[in-house]
Amino acid sequence: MAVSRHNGRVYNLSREHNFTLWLFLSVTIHVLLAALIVVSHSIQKKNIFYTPTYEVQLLPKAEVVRPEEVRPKKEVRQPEKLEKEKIKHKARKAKKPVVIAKTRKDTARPDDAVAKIREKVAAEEAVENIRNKVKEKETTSSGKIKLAPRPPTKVYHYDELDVELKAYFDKITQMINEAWSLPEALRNKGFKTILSIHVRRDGTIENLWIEEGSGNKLYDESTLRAISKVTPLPPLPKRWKEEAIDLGLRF
Amino acid sequence: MTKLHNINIYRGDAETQRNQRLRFVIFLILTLTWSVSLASAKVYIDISSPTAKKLSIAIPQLNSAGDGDAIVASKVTDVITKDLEISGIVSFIDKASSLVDPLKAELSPERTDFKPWVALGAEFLTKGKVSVEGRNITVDVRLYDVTAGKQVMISIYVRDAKDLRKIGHMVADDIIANLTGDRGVFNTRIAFVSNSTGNKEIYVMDFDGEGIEAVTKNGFINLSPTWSPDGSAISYVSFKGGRPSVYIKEIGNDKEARLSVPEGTSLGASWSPDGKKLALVISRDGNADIYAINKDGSSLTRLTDNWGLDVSPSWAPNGKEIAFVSDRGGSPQIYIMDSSGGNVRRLTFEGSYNSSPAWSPKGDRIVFAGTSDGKFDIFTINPDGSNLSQLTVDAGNNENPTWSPDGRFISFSSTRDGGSIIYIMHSDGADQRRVAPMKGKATSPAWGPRIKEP
Repeated sequence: MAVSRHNGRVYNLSREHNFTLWLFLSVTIHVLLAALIVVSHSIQKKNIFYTPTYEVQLLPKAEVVRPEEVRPKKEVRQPEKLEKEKIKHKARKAKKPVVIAKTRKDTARPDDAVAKIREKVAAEEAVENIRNKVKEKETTSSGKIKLAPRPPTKVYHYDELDVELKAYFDKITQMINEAWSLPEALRNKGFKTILSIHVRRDGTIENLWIEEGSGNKLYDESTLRAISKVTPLPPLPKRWKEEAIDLGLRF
Repeated sequence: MTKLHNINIYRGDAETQRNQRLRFVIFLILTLTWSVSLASAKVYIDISSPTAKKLSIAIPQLNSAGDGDAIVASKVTDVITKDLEISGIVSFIDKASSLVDPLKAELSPERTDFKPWVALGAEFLTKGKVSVEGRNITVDVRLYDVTAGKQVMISIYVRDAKDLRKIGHMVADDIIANLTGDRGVFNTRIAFVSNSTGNKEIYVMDFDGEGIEAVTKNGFINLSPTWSPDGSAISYVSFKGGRPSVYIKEIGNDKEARLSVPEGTSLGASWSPDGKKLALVISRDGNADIYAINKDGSSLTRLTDNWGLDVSPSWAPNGKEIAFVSDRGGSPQIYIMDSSGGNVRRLTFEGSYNSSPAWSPKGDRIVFAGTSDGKFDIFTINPDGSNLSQLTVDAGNNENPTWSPDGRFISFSSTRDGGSIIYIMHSDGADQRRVAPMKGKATSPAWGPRIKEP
């Protein structure tokens, strides 16, 4: 691995070689680390949206898979290729998904929900089957998801961003719930509509479309009315550095 | 890479260089992927607690050309508004009447200014016009989704002037259909018994108590009206032939047939859901039992054979079961049997007197009248005996409940205001209101089916 700095050509090859090797080693180490964490961390929370908790989730983008392609139906499924590593003090690499989990009762007011919010920066497993294994564990344990303490992350001030985002999501959830009128006749029929909105920094909704319809026109329209009534949304949190955010709203 | 090169050169030593590279590569990847992942992230949020059950709607008075038309327009608007109020599924924008709409004669979403309605909090808006030509009334009503700025309904009816209320009811039905997916029952009628002429006769009225018409005018005692499932006929019990018998009278003409049974007296009937048969109570030697008989009087079949009184049959909407009242257990209670007469099981165990069961149109509930603190009240219960619910409390005697064809309402008679009067309420007991303002005592309501408009 000696590097000759006097021969540019050798140097370049060697550098390329080193880079690839280190990258490979790094990935391998992280995969192992992730597996270790998953095994030792049975209360690790998962990428599912489901009962009796629901979760708000940032889907990390994969290098080779666009988010559109991994858009969830009932459950977020990460492509198997996408390897994610636990972020620890030393090991910082790859995507860091953000998961905000809320526990709620059906009748819970948004205020209560706020109080109940637990959140953390989640670690991600390397591969699908490990993920499933843990999911299984989790669903068989108590209904409430208990969240692991947040691992320290100094670089990105994620704590602050997370809190702000969480508050923002709570706020718009409450706004939309309050704007949403649904007649008794359309309740408890199992209808499920997912709307997609592209929210600009100033809170204006640039795009609104039905990502997944319920099959009932009146139900779909009731959700569209709710969005119309809350437009524009409050401006995005200051710590959100992007110009816009894509939100999926599951009615 | 240039940067990397520089750093390496600066560090010199190979070990340090490796560490440095490793750190830098990790840092670089982390930075890039992190920012990329945030930029393209998609958040899914559950919106699962719709706050309002009532849709807000503005119903300004329908537009009209002349003064005479304005009276008609006002009446039709009132019918629509009252129907929707009774439905319980909308809340009204109070200021709808005071908002001056320069475009109110224009019936198109393009020629409608939705902004003021949005500002008032309306989700829906009706606009419409009424014109009168001779005996004909033309009503054209549009329903707009205010937030989307689009038209969701066009209802145009041309009818004789005497059908003014009917037009309003039909428009209200259309609006409900476009808000909930199910048509309303505003164009249905309720049959009942009244002694306003001095003896008990059968009448029908609109569900809101208007448009009362006599079905019988024979001067004898007439009881227990029930509708055929298609609404074309009413069966009732009359003493006009001497002993009480069940008669079937067609609506809209004078055709009537007596359902003759070989012996005994018949005391009330219930139509099977397919309209081909009736369950009939026949009393002989003081013992009443339930029989099934074809509409034309053929094929009399005995369903119960018991020393007690078996009365008040009500078919399940699936046609497979019949609920009835029997005192075979010592006190009058509700029982259910198969429509062939077998598999009898007791439904009610609470209270010392339960009577007049009626199966809901969906088959999921049975309503009945039962004693509570010495007075009759209305209850509903699941057909398996669970989930008993009391709908009337401390309001005189409440009896003879009957379901609206959509199962959203229950009509019954109540003595809460003195004499017995017909009431309607939501199927959960909410919004109990009197609908038959006429003299005399009104009892035994029977809510008719929806009838197809030609």
